[in-house]
Amino acid sequence: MKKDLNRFGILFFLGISLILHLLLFSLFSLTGLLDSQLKFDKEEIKLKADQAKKRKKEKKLAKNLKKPLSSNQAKKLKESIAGKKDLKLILYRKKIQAQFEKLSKIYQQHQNTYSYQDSKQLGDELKKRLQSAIFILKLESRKLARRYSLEVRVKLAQEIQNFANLRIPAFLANPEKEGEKTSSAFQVISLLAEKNANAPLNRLASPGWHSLGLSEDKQIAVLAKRVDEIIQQLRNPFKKHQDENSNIDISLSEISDSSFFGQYQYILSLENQFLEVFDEIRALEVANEKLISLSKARKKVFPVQRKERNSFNILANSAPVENLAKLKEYAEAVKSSIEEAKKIHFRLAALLNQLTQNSNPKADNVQKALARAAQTSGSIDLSQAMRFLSSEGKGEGTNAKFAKIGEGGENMQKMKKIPRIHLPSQKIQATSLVGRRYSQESERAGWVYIDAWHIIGPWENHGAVNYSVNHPPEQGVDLDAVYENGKGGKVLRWEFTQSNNIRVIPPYANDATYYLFTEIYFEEGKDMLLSISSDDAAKVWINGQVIWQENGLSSWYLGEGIRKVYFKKGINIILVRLENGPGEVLFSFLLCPPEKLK
Amino acid sequence: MQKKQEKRIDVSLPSSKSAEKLLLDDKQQVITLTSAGSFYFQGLPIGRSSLREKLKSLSEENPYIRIRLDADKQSSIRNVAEILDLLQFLNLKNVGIRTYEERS
Repeated sequence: MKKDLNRFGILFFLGISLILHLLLFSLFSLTGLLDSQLKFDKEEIKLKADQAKKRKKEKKLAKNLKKPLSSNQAKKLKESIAGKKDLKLILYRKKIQAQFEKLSKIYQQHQNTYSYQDSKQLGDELKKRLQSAIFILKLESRKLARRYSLEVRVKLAQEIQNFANLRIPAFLANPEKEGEKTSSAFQVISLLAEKNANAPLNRLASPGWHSLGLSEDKQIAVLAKRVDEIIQQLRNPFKKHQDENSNIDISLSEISDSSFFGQYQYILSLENQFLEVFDEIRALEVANEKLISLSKARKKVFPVQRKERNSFNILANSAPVENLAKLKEYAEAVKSSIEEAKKIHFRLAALLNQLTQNSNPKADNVQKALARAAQTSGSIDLSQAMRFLSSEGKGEGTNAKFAKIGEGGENMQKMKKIPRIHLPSQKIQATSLVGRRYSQESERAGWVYIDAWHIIGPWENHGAVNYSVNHPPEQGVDLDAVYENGKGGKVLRWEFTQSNNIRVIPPYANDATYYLFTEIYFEEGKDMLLSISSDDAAKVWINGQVIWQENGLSSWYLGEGIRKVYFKKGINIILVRLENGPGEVLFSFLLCPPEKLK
Repeated sequence: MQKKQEKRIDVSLPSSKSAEKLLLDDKQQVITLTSAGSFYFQGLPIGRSSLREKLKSLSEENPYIRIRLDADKQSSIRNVAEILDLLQFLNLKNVGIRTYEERS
């Protein structure tokens, strides 16, 4: 009985303590809940109070903004707007003035080249171009006859050979008498090649063969036309008239109004004047390059895009002091106008940079020799010539040896051939690395490829390579530009692209021209080996200098073109013109330090 | 295969007064990329060419300058890659990237 009572007591005690624990637990939970609820309510109240405070503050601010200012307040605020801001605008104005002065010098150099080129010089240059065009025509027609051998093509190649050996010397000896005959001979060649391209000659030879060589036929037609054009130019060399000389105003006007608004207006007018002179320089460049009159060249040049600028007329009057709102609006206009001036300065710097990359009249002969060497298909060392041009550009003195080589622009044989380089295609494709910055510490053992490009295109090329048809990127790369003259009326813009292997593939289109643009950085000036490969043809410029020009269409293979080139210290600009006939379009650009191949 | 549902973990972060006291980093340069593909620099619209020139001069002045790329969540990855590639090329390595949703 006692035992039972004890057991009952223990059970009773346990029961009571359990109930008590439960009660306590629920009480704590409830208080916790209440606490969190309370906390939540508190936060909500705080949030609402904050919002109300903010609204009140905004209201007060808005009221204050409309409140008339005391003369003391107005004076202080006006002083804070002026002062440093004025100085900033003056700084940009001075920078832009200096840019314009540099541009004026470049203009004068080009104008001198244009004005003082006499007819004998023009004639000599045209004769050299004729020889070069004939050489390419002979080479390409022979290549075509060998590759896609058909009787008509072999015959045409022989005929071109004969004309080149007989007609051209006769024409050069007596242009007046032989001019017409020679011109019509090459017109006929062009027509025959075009006929071959339009009528699939080899349709019956073997199935699937009917399109082979047709784009090359088109190319022969274009090359023959080019020869005829030069013959025509030699028969009727353009005569310079007084009105065809460039006489654009390059004097820096004086600033008439030195107020903030006056300074800003002056900057806007300087920009316009700069762009006018810039376009004229482009025209002079084309006239000097193509040996045509300035009026013709002007028609070939695409003017630089003019950007709409805010004139900030609010700044014409002094800062309004009626209330803070108006003063704030004025201050905002001041700030934005300085930003606009800054943008103008950067834009003009970019344009000026393009010109200084390209223009170096002193080194003109070396440039011409380089341009000719660029067209040879072998492996050539261009580094010395490029080094010379680079030192000329910087005014670091001249390299006498290369100045001589440049004379007459024809001693390209002095640009050494590079011994044959073996390029193990599979190994390079598997192991080459990406790189656009080179320093002494770079431990790259082999070939490096460029993976990042800006690409624009397609433009129509009618299935043939014709570098005499220029597109806007050749006159300067503007990554913001929009062109409405793409193939089939397509609107063209620069697009950024990255490739995950050595081959860059632009958006595909048949019979099209593309441009690729990139930059490479070198910590110190350096010689590098380049391997250029394209499908179908490419022309490559480094810092405005042509280093590779392929005139015929060919498929992609590694090591198609090998060049030893010189990259200057700092940023180097690479521009590629890529031509596509039928089928795929590809391009590769690989670099390797020469010492790494030894 | 059924995917395992992700469990959400509520974390209440400790409030820190010192964090609030930090001053805004006004030396940081901000490039903004909108969903339409337009570029902004320090809040002002800028073209690709001008942006390149601006960044080139910044890299010459101070290659360690802090740069932040704010890209709209709808912006094209191609444009983001373009900016990152440019910054890398100019040796500007102190770069942060942030994404946001454009609100009108």
